[in-house]
Order: sequence, then structure tokens, then C-alpha cells
Amino acid sequence: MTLRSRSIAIHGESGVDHGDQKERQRLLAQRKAMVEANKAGFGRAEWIISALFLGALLLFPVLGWRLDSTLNLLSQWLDGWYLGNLPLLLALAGVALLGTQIFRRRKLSALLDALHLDDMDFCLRESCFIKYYKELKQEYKELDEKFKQLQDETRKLFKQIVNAEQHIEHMASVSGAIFWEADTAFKVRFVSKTATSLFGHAHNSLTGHSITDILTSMDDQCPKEEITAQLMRGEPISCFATSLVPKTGAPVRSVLDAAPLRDDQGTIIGISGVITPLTRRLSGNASFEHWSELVLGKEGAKEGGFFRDSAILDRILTEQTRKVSQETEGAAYQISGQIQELDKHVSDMMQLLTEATNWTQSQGGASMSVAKQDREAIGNLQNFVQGLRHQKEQETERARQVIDQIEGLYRLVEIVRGISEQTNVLALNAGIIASRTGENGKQFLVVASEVRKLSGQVKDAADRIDNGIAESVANIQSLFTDNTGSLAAEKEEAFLQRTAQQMTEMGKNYSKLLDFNDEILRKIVDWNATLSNKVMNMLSGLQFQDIARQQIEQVNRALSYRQEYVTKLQSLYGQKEEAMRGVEPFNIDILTKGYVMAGQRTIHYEQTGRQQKREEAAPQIQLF
Amino acid sequence: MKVIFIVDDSGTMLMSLEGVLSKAGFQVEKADSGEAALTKLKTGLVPDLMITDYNMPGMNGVDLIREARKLPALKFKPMLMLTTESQLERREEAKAAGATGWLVKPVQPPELLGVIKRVIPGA
Repeated sequence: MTLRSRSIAIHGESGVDHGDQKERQRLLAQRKAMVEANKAGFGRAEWIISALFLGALLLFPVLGWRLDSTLNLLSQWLDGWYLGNLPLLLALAGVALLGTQIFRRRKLSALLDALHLDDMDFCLRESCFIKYYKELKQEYKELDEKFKQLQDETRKLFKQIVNAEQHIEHMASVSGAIFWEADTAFKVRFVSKTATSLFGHAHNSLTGHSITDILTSMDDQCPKEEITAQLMRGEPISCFATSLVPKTGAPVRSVLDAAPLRDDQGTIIGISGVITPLTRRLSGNASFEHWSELVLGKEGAKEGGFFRDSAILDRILTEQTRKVSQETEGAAYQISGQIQELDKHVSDMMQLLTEATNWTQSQGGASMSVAKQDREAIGNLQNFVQGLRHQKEQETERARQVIDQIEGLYRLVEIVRGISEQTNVLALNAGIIASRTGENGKQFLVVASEVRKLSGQVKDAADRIDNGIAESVANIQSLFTDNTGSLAAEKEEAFLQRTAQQMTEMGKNYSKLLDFNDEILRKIVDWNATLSNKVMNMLSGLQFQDIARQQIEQVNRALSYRQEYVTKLQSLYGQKEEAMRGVEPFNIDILTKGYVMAGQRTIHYEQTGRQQKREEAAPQIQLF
Repeated sequence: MKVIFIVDDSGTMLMSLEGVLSKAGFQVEKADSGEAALTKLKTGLVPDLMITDYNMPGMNGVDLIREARKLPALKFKPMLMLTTESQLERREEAKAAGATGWLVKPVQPPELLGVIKRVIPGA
């Protein structure tokens, strides 16, 4: 170690004490004392040992004199031993002295080590020190020149560092960001002046503070502890909504980017980072400010901004779709219940029909023989009726023949009557002529009168024949009638009675079946009416689909509005101020115009926290 | 048989109402938009009752009723609004346009048929 470095170690670089002044002063004082002690050649230890030894030399004879024979013996022994061993004693004294010197030198060496001085160079005697000092002065001169050179280089380097700092300050100023640097204990070493302009902190006032004290984070993914932990693991970090704590006012929304600094060996020697406010005030970019106001809302304001309202919209739509889901689930349950009722209803009817079928079959077995008899009876009756008809036809034919004959006779009788009348007329004429002819005609008159009598008899005979014919016809007719009644009267009567009984039985059975059918029909009519009602109810349940559809359409409209707004924001980014004019902020309240149900409005106002206009409860059905 | 004319842009609603009304013994005519309904009315359809939805694309139910009332044959025919809307302002608007009544979906068949019996003479 050179004298200069020694000197610097004691006095510091610029001649002013740095570091722990008290400790240095203590060491210097201690060194001074040691030097003083070494200059004298005797230190305290030496004085004590010498005093002890001298004391022993002087006191032992005195002590030996005071004590008894044991001590006399001891003193004699000591005298003998003492005198005989004086060189040894002296040697021992010399060793003791030497030992203390060694001890002191070691202590001085430790002290000199603390003072970063080479104990071999340190001279215990003043003259040696002075001589060494002259040599050291020469060395110091040489070193001083080197130091000056080094200083120049350091100055140049420092200037470069200052230039770099100015460069960093310029970059910070242009970009509107805050550049910062901290040591491995996260104590801030450098903060650019933009911290003053953006956050109101006095220049260098943040230096020395821990970065966790000066940062504020609203990013759930980036708590402050995680920032330091990740950086110490050697990983860079980027955090949204993390910024410097401002001197006054609300935090400026910023993005933090930081990374560890490493030396040539890769060891982490510090942290550097950038805090970029999302609003570039320094640049005075009005369009960006306006754009960020649309996205984030007004600076420091609680409400407004696309992000915030979009999150509210998500909650509104979630609640509205949950309501739709619940309602459709309810409707589905209702319809499902109606289907089950319908199914039961059909089952009931099927059971009824099964019972009817069973009953009919059971009845059918018993009535088979009856039906067979009925069929036989009906068959017999049919045969009988047919036979009767045939018989009747024959008799009718015979009677017709007789009547034809009689009609023939009638014609004959009419002819005879006609002849009789004509004869009568002739006779009259003959009489008249005869009366006119006188005597000769008198005989003729008699003949005419006889003819007239004959004609009258003929007419009478014709009349009698006529009556006789009529009587015969009447007889035939009555005979005809009697014939049908008397021909097979007895056996027919029996047969017909039997047939009538069977018919009555048949009638009863059919009556039973008719009653049963009536009952079945009645039940079917009732069932049909019930079925109709149930189907009607199920059909009306389909209304829920329309209600759900309207609500979901509204959700889609809201999503479309948001998507359009996102597209608009994307297109506006980086545009000039004029493009932003007239662009309205994202407004979820305009969606209320499309709401058709009270439930939608209620959910909207609940989620936005705004007071709902009271809606009067209106009846479900109202006739004006 | 009485004729009921139903107007709704939802196919499901038309199916539902047609099923209920035809089972109740009515003859049902349908239209799926305000414009189509008005065309049918102008070309000779004279129903005993018209039931229309409120929210439809294009011509809504209120406008349909307002236009239908201008037709002489329909001036005094009953016209009901069947809708999900519940706001009183909308009802007043429908009443002013000439609606006979207002029903809020969903409406149960007995209630619907009850209203129909009241508004159609002789139903």
C-alpha cells in the first residue's frame, strides 16, 4: 500500500474526513499514544514489570528479615538462588521485556491494519519515521501526479456521466416519462426531473427513498412486493396502473417498466426503470388526452371512461342473461310438467279403453251363444217371411186369375145387358110401329111386347149374374184373407212368439252395449275436452321463447354497441384533435331505450347505482 | 266462425296463439310484420278481432293500429296489443292510436279467451 493510499485512508480523498470520523479519530489517538509509548521505549507494561522486578530485588531481603526461620531459610535460599541466578534473572527480565515489545508490536500491527498501514513501514523511532517520511513524501509526489491524471480522467468520465444524465433528462422530457435508478436495496439513486413536472416532487427529493415507498400500484397483478421480488430474481417487470405517488393530487395513470442492472460478471448491481404516464402532458398532445379521456374517463374523476362503463355493462348483461336463463328454465319446467300431465291423461284414457275392451270381451263370450241363437232366429224368420211371401204371391196370382176371369164375365154381362137394352129399344120401336100399322101390327105388337118382356128378364138375369159375380169376388177376397190367417196360423203363431222373445233378448243386449258405448263416448268427449285444454296451455307456454328472444336481442344490441365503440376507439388512436370532436363518451344508459321489460330496467339501474324512475305497477290485462 | 287476425314478428308466438285460438274454435289469420298485416287488411281481410305485438321491425303495433283504424271496415273492430312492454307511456300511446286493450306477455289461455269473449260480440 502506498503512502498516498494510506493518506487517503486516513484523511480521505479530498483531504476532508469521510466515513466514520469518530472511529478514525479514536484510531488516530490510539496510534498517537502507541507512537508516544514506542518513542519512549517503555510502555506501561514495561514499567510494571520493571517495578515488580526491582521491588522484588529490594523487598525480598526486607521481607526475609521480617519473617521467621522459614523465611530466613527462604531468604537464604533466595539469596543463594538469587545471587547464583542473577544472569538468569536478568535474562528472564530481558525476555519479559522482549515479550511486551512483541505484544505491543502485535497490537500496534492490528491497529495499523485498521488504519491500513504497513507495520513494516512504520518506524518506532522518530528518526526512522522522519527518514521514512521523506521517502514517502517523494513517493507521494509521484503518486500525486498520477492522481491528478486519474482525476482528469475521472473528471472527463464524470462529464460523460453528466452528459449521459443530461441525455437521459432530455429523453425523459421528450417522452414525458420518468427515468429512475435504484441500488440493490431498492434505494433510489437517480430520478429524472420529469418527476417534478409530472408529479410535483422537488428535484432529488426522492433520492434515498425506497422505491416501494414512492410507487403506488393499482394493478392486481403487480403488488409492490412482487415488483421488488421479481427484480431481485433478475427478471424484468412491466406493470399497468402503477406510478409515482404524486406530491399532491390524484395519481397519474402510468405504466411501470423496470429491469435489473448487471455488471460484466452478471451480478445485479442495481435496478433501472421507466414510469410512463398514459397522458402525455409534457408533449401537450391534446388528441391523445382526449382519446385517453374517452378510454379512461376524465383525470381524477370517479365516473366515466370506456373501461369503467364496459365493466358495468358486463355486470348488467350477466345479470340480464341470468334472469333469462332462470325464466326459460321455469318455462321448461312448466312445459315439462304439462307434458307429464298429458302423458298421464293419455294413460288414463288408454286404461279406460282397455277396461272397456276387457268388459266387451267378457260380455262377448256369454253372448256368443245368444248371438248364435239370435242369428238362427233371424235366419228362420227370414226364411219364414220369404216362404210366406211366396205363398202370398201364389195366392195372389190365383186370385188375380179368378178376378180376371170374373172381369171377363163382367164384360159378358155388360154385353148381355147391352143386348137386352137394345132389344128393349127394338121392341119399343116395334110396338110403336105396330101400333101405327093397325090390325096387322097387333100381332107384331104382341111379339114386341113379348120381346120386351124377354129383354127385361135378360136384364134381370144379367143383374143377378152381376150380383152373383160381385158376391163371388167378395167371397174370394175374404177367402184370400182367411187363407192367410188360417193357413199356418197355429205353427206360425208359435214360431212368431218364439221369435219375439228372442228379439226381446237381443234388444236388451244391444241396449246394454248401447249404454256402454254411450258411456265410453261421453268419457271420450270429456277426455278430448281436457286434452284440448292441456294442449292449449302447452302452446301458450311457447310465449316464453318470444320473451327470452327479445331479452337476448337486447343483450346482443349492447354487445354490438360496445364492439362498435372499441372499433371507433381503435380508429381514433393517434388521430388529430379534429377527428375526436363530436365523439361521445361510451354511454351505457342509451341502452335503456331498447328495454321492453321492467326487469331489464331494474337490473340496469341496480348495476349502475343510479336511481330508477319509479314505475307504476300496471295490470297485465287492461281494456281501454 | 269468428275470424281473429294475429300479427307478430315471432314465429313462435304466431304458432302459440294460432294453436290456442283454433282450439277455442276461431278461424285464425296471421301476418309476421306490420306492413304485411296492413296489406292484408287493405286487400279485403276484415277480422272480428286483431291482436298485434308492439315491438316489430319496421312498422310497430301502434302504427299498425293507427293505420288500420283509417280503413272504414275496421273503424270499430276490436284491436288488442299483446306485448312484453310494461311502461305506462306506451299504453297511453296505444290507447291514443285506437287500441281496444293491452295484454302483457305471457298471457294464459283462459285469460286471453276471457278477454276475447268480452271484445267480440257473440263469441
